[in-house]
Amino acid sequence: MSKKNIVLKSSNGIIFEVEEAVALQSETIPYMIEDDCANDTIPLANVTGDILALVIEYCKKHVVVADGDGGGSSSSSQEDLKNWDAQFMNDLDQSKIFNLLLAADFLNIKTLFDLTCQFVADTMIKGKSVEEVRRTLNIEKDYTSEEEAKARQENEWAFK
Amino acid sequence: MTYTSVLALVILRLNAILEKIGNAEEIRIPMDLVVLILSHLSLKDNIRASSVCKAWHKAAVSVRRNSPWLVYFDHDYLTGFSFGFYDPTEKIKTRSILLPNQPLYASLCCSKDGWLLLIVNYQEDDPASLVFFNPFTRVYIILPRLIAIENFRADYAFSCAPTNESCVVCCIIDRTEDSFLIHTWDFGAVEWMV
Repeated sequence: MSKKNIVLKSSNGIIFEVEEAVALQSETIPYMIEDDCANDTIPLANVTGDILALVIEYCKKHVVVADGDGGGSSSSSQEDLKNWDAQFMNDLDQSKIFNLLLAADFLNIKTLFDLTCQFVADTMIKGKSVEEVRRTLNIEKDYTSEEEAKARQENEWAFK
Repeated sequence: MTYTSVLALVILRLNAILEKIGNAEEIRIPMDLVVLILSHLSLKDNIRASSVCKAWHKAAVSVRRNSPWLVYFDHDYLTGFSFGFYDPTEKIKTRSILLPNQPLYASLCCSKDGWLLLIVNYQEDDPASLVFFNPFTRVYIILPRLIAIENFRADYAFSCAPTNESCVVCCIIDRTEDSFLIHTWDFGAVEWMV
């Protein structure tokens, strides 16, 4: 594998230089390279430096494992990776998680996107009451009390 | 502490609060991503999420999995008759729920469109009665008395949900090689027809 480096620039002007294999886990970046071949630096207007650093941390971790698996995949490394992912997500606050989700979507990194979606679903919605979800995600209730009561009545069992 | 330093502290605090409010608004998740997040939920969480707000309702319904559920009945001498569901796709059993008005006896005749037709007996000396029960809304519809219910070999069927005006319930008894007796009940009728 060639050790070509790719330079990424965050929305607030922070420069990151990463190996090509790391950057190419994003399905968006190859298109940007094609479109912008004259310039070596790829500007990512939607991603701030701190979030881009997290994305790169994730991609670096995952590229190493993908390489190591080349010979014969060992289940322990998959297990380690899972634990690493869980720890990685657990260390983030809510605003970082959401920004990471948006970045994973924009950069089209499928595994990271699925990971953040699953994490949001598991930690902020699953098993929580409707009021808790509204509070955590800062969502305004736009149902009238009657509408809400009616909707609940239709599926009463789910609210017990 | 001087007046100005207190004022400066207040302003700092206010700024911090304003910043928080600003951040909170900044991290609204676009609806197409909400749809994908909600697709990771179980049916129960999906239904809960659908009453968060109108936009979420639309999103949740669009990714709601409609796999059939199996209903199970259970009887325990201490607690009584209970029921619950089993989701074959997620291989999970919901917690069992006691039948309302705790009957002395209950058995399932048949089910359709989310409704169960049960034979229940509430009091020792009372005759058993046929009851429609919706386990999701927990609505009960008690049918007029049917003598044939005493016949253990009776078979039952109904055409559609008993909230629908075209609902007909059918009970077949006394089956021999060349004859049988049918009792029918039409929606809203006060007695059975033979």
